[in-house]
Amino acid sequence: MNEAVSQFLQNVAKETDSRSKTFDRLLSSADASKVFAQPVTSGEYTVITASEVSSGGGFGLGLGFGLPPAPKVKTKAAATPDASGAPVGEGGGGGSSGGGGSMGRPVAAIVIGPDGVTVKPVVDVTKVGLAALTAFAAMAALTAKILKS
Amino acid sequence: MMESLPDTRPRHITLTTTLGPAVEVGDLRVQPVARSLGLRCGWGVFVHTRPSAVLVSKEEETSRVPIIDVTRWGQAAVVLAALLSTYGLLVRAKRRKERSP
Repeated sequence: MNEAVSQFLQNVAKETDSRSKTFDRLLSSADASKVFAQPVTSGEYTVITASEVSSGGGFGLGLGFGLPPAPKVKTKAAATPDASGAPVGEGGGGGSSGGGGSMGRPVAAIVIGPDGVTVKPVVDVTKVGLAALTAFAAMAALTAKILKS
Repeated sequence: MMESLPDTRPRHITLTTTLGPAVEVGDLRVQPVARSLGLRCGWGVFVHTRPSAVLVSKEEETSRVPIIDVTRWGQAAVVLAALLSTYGLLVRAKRRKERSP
């Protein structure tokens, strides 16, 4: 049983190391090339779009081993050792899982033209509108509570 | 029975500024700049990268054109306005309560 536990722990350590390296790669991959798109040229103008990019992930694992509760009455299965001498009925288990996600949002367009370089912002009206709705709904709820009291 | 795993998990925050590939159009040279924030905690990681500015070079003169995230500023302004309004309402309600017999 101890050998099995050690083997399992080694596998867990190996898996942890592997995922740790993946996270390191994710951290090191955060550079300007992910944020700025390839330039697109049309006539005298060249446009580069700029976006913000967020990504994240994580994983977790758990394991447990143990013996069954000692029986009040000695049963044949609990009392009789198996061929290797280990007590019958030991058990254990483990599991691991992970997840992640990423999102991107356009922030601005860089326009290079005959007049020079201009940065045109990209406004996400829906996002601002949703923030306004949420904030003012919270404010209205608080105001109603104050007026009641 | 219990064995503990060696804690090899690094915990750190990284802030980096990176330069993208330069684009040359005529006598202009445009180089994008990005800033990234990396958070590493336990068995999780979060990376946020945003455009910061563009460096415009023309005839050995370099200027920095900032990239402003209008959406983010808009959201911040809306939340701030709501917080200030709520604070104002609370102060007003408190004063009214104090004045009433």
